[in-house]
Amino acid sequence: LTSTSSGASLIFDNRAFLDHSWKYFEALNKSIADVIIKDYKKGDTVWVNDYHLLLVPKMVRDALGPDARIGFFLHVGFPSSEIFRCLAHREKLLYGILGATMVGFQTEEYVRHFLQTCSRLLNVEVQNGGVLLDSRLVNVVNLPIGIEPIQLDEKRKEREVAEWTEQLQLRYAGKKLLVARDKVG
Amino acid sequence: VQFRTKESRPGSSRSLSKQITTISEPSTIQLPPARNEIPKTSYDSVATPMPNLLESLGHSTLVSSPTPPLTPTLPGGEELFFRIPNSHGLALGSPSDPSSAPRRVMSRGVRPKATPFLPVDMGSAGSGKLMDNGYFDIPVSSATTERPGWRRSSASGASTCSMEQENWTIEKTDFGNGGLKNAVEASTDPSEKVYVGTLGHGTDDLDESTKVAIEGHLREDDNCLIAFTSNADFDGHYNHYCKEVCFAPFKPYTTVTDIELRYCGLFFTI
Repeated sequence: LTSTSSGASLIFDNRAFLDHSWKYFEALNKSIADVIIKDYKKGDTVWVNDYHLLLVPKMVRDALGPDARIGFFLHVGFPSSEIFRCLAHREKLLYGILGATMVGFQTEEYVRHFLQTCSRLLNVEVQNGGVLLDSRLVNVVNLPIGIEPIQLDEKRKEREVAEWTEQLQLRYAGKKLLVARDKVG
Repeated sequence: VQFRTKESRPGSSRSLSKQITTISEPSTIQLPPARNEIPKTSYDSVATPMPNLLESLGHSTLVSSPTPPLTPTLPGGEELFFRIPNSHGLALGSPSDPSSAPRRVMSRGVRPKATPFLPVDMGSAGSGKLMDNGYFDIPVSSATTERPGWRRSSASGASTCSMEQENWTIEKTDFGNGGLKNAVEASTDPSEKVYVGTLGHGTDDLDESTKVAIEGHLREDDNCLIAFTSNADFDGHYNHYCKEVCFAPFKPYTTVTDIELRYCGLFFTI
């Protein structure tokens, strides 16, 4: 009995993930893509950013044809195929990204994850640095987002930063401290 | 992809190819509080007991409700995942999340517990306000709301809407994805550039004339094109799909516990 009820809840949980909020994700991606398509002129380059808009490259590609230059950059990490395969809409998400001419990731590891995920879940041919679709090659590159050193240096000189520095030095006096900034969650 | 940019106005060089960059929040639209209400799900309410999944699936409430109902989660998993960030006042989101830059202004003293070495008198350095924008609260001074060198600000000053009767302004924000902004600003390519994005919230509450006015100002003054989205689409897209479905696998290092609970747990509890 226990095993039966767990099985039932598993199925319904999957259905929930499958159907629940996907349509909103699709709808918002569509509204962005529509604006791009409407404004696009031949020769333009479209640069799509981050996981909120995973479907936009394909939507734009379908409307603009094989010659449009479309870039996609993922600012967050790309998981291994074992995790990505848990997403109910994994194939649509991957094909959404693959609408781009070039796909960029933050690290070599994410590139590898993406290529491997395409290979395993879509059964498409993957080569070093790209995914071979029927009609075209999608370049997949490691292009970590950089910092702007001049602006950063100016920030470092601001009074607020100096106060932070002072607080940290007081708190961790006598210790060597490596300070980084990151988003959590 | 080589990125190209130029300070040219739309229409002045239509023959040139341009860059269309999509971002989640091209600019901050300040609206009066009543209009700025975003019907988004607070993580508090997510953490409360979930509605019966069988029941909610049995009814067709998904279609008719103005905003999407809560995304069902596995029992047990949601509590750990959602309570921790909320109780610490952490903003959930990637660098480019539209609402990871919430225009919530926290009063001094209401400080998340997870910022152990926030300087105590930091708020007094700025305007006395703290913006809740991530792991640390960022002290905001009025001077930081506009950066020198940002094209539109320098060209049109505060860029307050010329129609006084309209109760909104367009302002540059320090939030959003700094790395992306820097990349665009640093480009030496002379092509025209255009941003495409949402306003950072659903726009059901804006009447058509306001939408037209906002759209026009952003297009003419800022080279920004707006995709207006319904409250339901924005909420469902961002607070539900992005945060609760996409979120976990795309953030493998910060939510590994959640992934285990939600996905691995799914497979191994049969």
